[in-house]
Amino acid sequence: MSLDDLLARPAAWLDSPGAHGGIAVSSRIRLARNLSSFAFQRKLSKVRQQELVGRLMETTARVTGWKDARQLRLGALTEMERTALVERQLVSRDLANGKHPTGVFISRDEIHSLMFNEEDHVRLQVISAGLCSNANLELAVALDQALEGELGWAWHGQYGYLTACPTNVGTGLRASVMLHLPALAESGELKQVLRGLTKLHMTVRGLHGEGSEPTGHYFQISNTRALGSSERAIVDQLNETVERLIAYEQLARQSLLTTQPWRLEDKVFRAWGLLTHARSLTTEELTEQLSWVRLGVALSLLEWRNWKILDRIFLQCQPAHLQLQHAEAGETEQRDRLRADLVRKWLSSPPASAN
Amino acid sequence: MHSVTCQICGKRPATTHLTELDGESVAGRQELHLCATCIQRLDLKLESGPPAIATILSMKAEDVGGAKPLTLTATTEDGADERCPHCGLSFGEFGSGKLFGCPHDYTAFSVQIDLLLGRYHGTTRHIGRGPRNAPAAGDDLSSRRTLLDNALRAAVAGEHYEDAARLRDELRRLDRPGA
Ligand SMILES: [Zn+2]
Ligand SMILES: [Zn+2]
Repeated sequence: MSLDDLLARPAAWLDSPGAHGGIAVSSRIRLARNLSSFAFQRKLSKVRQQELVGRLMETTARVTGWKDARQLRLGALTEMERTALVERQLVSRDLANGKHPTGVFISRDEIHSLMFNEEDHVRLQVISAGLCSNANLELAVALDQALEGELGWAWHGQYGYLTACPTNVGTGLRASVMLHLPALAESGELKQVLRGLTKLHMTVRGLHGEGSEPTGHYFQISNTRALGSSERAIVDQLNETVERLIAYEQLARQSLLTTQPWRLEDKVFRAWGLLTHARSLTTEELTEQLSWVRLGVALSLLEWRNWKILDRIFLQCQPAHLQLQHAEAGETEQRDRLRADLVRKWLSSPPASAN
Repeated sequence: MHSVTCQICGKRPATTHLTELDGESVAGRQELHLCATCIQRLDLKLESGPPAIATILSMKAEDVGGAKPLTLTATTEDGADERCPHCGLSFGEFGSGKLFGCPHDYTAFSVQIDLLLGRYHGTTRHIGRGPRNAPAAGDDLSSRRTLLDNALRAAVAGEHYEDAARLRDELRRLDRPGA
């Protein structure tokens, strides 16, 4: 099954400007669930893992009844296709790189996705643009309830939902919000602010989750404790923390604008100049410069403000998306040139189309 | 002192042992075991008086690049060779991979798991949703008391005083609900 039509579409979680001038990019809810009738992965034979994935695929398709959903066995995809799914935040790196039988079930709008036989039997994800953890939690719970009767989740009266790793036991919930914090990062206060999160039992990751370095001033904030608080309380605390971080970022933006507007403008216009003129761009360079352009658009420093194009560049210029959609993007050098060409072309689009 | 694993990286043997007393009580005693590499990575200047343990713990997740803030060192001394009757996993095996073998492990190793969860999540009891047909949490108080009793004994034996204090509190709360 080809991924072409999937790759060409915008991603569910990228719909700028989102909330608060593009600071809150996306929100994600993830529930970890396991079947009581199967061992966890490390003690489950390959044959049983196949059986597990088959059963999960079949049950999810039947219970949801989503005719236009996509079911994929990762083993049937090329490495590049698996990477593209990671770039779209539909599967984890672990699932993409795993050597065991795995599967993923993706709703047409990509808001719902379920990973099968990751660290846990099921990782149910709901992701969407902007600040909407509450709504996402409701969607996730509804799907969880639809599945629970058919699958029989591993459950313990004291510990709650049982997971392969004890860090996820209890609710099995990880709620996260991706924030774009360029001004805080630039002001040098970010490290201290983020360090304070540990005390609130929150953690910070980069764009692509666990183990990824923060790039392009994107930070994912999520809860570390899954046990001892209700799902609602975990989400409330995350929201509270995120709102505080948004306020800090807004303050930092105002302060840069009032005290050193030239410095900020210099960053933004240099980035704009680079992206509209470069003949070769690496992913890292693009991510970094796009971040400043995004800030320039958010603060109306640039006349050009086409958020949709920014999202398109962000998503479509990632390595696997480029390579799968452009036959000529095989070698790094060609890819960097193609990336620069596409960015120049897209940025020369009308400056202020609606939104 | 017998060899202890560094609580920051969870890999190398600890060479530095910090103890901190909060007031007079034994329960307030907090220990932290560190290896030389982690001390260097965290840039701790121990000669000029170590920072508070809480401060070090708050630094580690971010600075050591570990995704999981890891107060999750398994207490392998206690019952390392007990095995889950369903999947055959031993608690020692769990400690090396940090992943369980099957859902039954939570019952097979409940004593160690209570300690582990208490340290990581600050509690051992789920609050929140459950499957609609599942028995409600807190149904069986007497077996809960046995679990806590066992965990408390293990904590005292292993000199995990912080855990012991917390478990004692939970036992007290069990006796006086609503207190
Ligand atoms: Zn260490
Ligand atoms: Zn087991």
